[in-house]
Amino acid sequence: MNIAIYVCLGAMLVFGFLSVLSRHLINAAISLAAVSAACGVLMYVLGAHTAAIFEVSVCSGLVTVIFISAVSLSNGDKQASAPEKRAHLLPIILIAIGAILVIVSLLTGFSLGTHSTVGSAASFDNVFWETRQADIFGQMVAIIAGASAIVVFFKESEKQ
Amino acid sequence: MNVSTIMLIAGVVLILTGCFELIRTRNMLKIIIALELAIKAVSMFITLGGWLNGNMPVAESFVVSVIVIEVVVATVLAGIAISIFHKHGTMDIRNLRNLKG
Repeated sequence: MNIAIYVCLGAMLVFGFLSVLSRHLINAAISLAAVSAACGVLMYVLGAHTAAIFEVSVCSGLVTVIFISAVSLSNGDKQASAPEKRAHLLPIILIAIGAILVIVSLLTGFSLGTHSTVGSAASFDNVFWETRQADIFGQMVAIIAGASAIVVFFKESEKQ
Repeated sequence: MNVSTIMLIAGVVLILTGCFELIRTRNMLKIIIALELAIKAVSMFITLGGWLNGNMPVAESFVVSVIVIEVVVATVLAGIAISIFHKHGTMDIRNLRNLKG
């Protein structure tokens, strides 16, 4: 199990760096999809099965389609290649920050603790549909607002 | 050093990566990608909290809420980016200064 977690964390970091450093927006969007897929696998390994399914299907699928559609509707890919300050030192800086955090946690003996085996008696269905109803209404409002915003923006662009 | 501490450090590095890109770039689509990257780390932190406490159903419900909000934010920002592109011919974030209510 630990090996799977380490592999997923490594994939998330590598593809995260690639998505930031990539010169082309399509490559960045695909790298972000790979980060989402690795995060989904990590959630599944940790036991969050429903959240993992949402992560892989929605974040790794739908959001990637939205990005690629946005790039297709504009010449965003050419703009990303336009002169922009490149971050050649970014991986070195981030690896140094990670190494510093590891060293500090080793020196100070910082540790988050381990997995608690005392499981909750409630299932995800009970928690989500019975005790988190305010979240559900909030999500419904957010989805309606997002759909309305998309309709308005595309109507504006058609007028122009 | 145990697994959860390593996950915490990796999540912090991911959030720093997203914040660095948010500061560096002016392309709106790259800004959305950086924002998504940071939100991924936050989702991982919530899952890690549920795993540590043994209360995974509550953590899962929060992660589902975060995913829904994340998709709505990405969709609306992409729509704004396309709208800016049709108006100005570029996706430079500085064009948002020209918006009039």
